Amino acid sequence: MADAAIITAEKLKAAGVLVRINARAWGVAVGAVIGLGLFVATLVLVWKGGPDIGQHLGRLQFILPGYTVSYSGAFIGLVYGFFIGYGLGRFLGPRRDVAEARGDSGPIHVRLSARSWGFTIGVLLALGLFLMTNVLALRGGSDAGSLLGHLHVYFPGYAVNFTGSLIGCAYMLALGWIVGRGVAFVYNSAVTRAEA
Amino acid sequence: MNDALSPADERALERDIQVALAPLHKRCLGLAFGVVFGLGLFAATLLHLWRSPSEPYPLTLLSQYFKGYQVSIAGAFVALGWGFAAGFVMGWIFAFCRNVVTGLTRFVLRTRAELAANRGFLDQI
Repeated sequence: MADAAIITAEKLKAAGVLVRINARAWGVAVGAVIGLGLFVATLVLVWKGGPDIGQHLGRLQFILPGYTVSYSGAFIGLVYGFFIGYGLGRFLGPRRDVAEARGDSGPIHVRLSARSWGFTIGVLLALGLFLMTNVLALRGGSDAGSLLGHLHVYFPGYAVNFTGSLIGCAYMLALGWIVGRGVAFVYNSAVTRAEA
Repeated sequence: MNDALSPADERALERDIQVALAPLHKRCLGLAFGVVFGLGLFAATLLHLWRSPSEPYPLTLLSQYFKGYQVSIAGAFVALGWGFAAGFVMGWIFAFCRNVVTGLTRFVLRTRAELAANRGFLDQI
């Protein structure tokens, strides 16, 4: 009886460690991609120069205080991007069926669960658009969400207001679902061929 | 601990470890990101042309990063190529970072376990 309890406790402890490892790894990976992406995007604009540098990317300062399209802003963006990506990445990691290992011999690479990737990316995109839209709508002003409002070209019915944010959520959920399943499908097919 | 586990439990635990520590295939994830990102930009350009042909803004801002890009049929193919390249790099970096963290974690765990296993020997010398 006592042995069984110890074994169960050890198994739970091991499972907890594995979940934490997985979550941390996915967090670092997503953080690195988003952070480096913002870093490079900022530097490209700085290097290109021009009279009105970063007119559009610079609007990120409304959501990321301190960020500017400059050398120092690139590093600030790198840090912001990493931490935001880390938080998002942990959503991808903890669930067991996000990734599956397969094969009893030879090199084993992780497989991606299309269902989980589709769901997770869809929810993240939908939440992101919902929050951004409502923050911009609440800030108000004459040109609130003038850039984001162009999404109506791709998402008919979308607008920078609460109703529009709900419509945008539905579109993003569908888009994320397709993107997530697409990535998982291509990756899993390619890994199967590479390991064959 | 493993001596007390049933074969089924051992298999389940082994599978958990594989899932947590097995590497991502860098080239394949780059390919997957590249294909999806490239096709996404291609479709977005065509959709923009169809829905709002007279107003290229804001998609035309992509020309700041993707040389030769414009909101046109030809530009859609340029976006496909650039999107694939950018997506491939993102996917590769994603897999690389994930593999580095799991690899380092595996190394640390193994080292700790070996030190713990040898503690009795070290106490005797």
